[in-house]
Amino acid sequence: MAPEPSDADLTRLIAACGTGAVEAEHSLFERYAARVRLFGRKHLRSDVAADDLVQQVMLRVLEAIRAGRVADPNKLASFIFGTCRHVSWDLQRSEQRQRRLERETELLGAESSMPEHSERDVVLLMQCLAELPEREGRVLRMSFMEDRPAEEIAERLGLTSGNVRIIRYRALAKLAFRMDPESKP
Amino acid sequence: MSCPTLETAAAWLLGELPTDEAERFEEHYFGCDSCFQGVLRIERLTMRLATKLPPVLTRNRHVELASRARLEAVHVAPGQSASLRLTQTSSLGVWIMHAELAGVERVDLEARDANGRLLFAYADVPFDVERGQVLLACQLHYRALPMDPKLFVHLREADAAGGRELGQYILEHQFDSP
Repeated sequence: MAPEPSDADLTRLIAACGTGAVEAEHSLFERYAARVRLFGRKHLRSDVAADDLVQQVMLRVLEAIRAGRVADPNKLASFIFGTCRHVSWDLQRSEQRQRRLERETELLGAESSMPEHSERDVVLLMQCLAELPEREGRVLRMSFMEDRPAEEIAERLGLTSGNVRIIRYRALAKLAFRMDPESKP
Repeated sequence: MSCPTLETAAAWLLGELPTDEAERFEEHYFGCDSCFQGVLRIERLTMRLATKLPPVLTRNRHVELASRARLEAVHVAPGQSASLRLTQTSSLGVWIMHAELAGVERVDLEARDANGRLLFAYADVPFDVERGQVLLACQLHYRALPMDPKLFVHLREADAAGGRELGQYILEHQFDSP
């Protein structure tokens, strides 16, 4: 199987062919859209806004490549990240964001609350959660299963909220690793 | 830059990294498949934790779920039993356990099977003092868990003096086959 073309290969191809390099543009979209979407979910806190971000960022990136404005094709990831950050700031400032959130809330209300999942995953998750040290398991349960804020958990467990936050992300990483030990710690 | 750990990915996702460190992580994952997959795994994990395990529900969560999906609910008094039947079209239920909770500050929950084997135990669960209720959710996919169709659930008040029994409940569930 031929190796996937590098970012630099794709960039040069798109720059040379303009709108004619459809496959190269598609490959670039496939490679980066999910990363931009993750950034959007984190910073814009809305799936609808994250999808908007993907469209705007990828469009700007492709236009920049076609116009030869990407100075170093080997640093395309950094260029996309920079574009993503700027567009995200614009979206956050935009008044339209509030309207999108309202629209999404309406959509959410119409959805089932139970997403599709594998039952095998549920068993594995319960086993791995039970194997965590008691305090870590409690912090994860209170945080994610019971939606309690760090301040309340801290009060219940006799910790500072800063400690709860540290325990929470460490325990989450530990749980993710136990769920998939092949991955990096 | 060497790859950050999963801990860093989790801290970023939860908004616990200082701004400059968060930006460094973001720029890194844009160019790193492994770290991007790592942070996606953490994100999926938080969603699974929130939706898939047997949680004790807060009143607000119960109201929210009931407004979104068909929710089977059965009330059960201390010493009594109650049964939930879940199907593909009605996959979420709640056992509403009643107890005298006035003045109680902490409730611990423990579920055992008919042989006394511990299935799960949750310390310091949410409860509704006003209504005197503890809400235990039951979902169709729990059929994959090693649980008997009959749970023997104990609620205890936990305090410095060792606590007291608030109630014992026999919670039965029937699931449609996959």
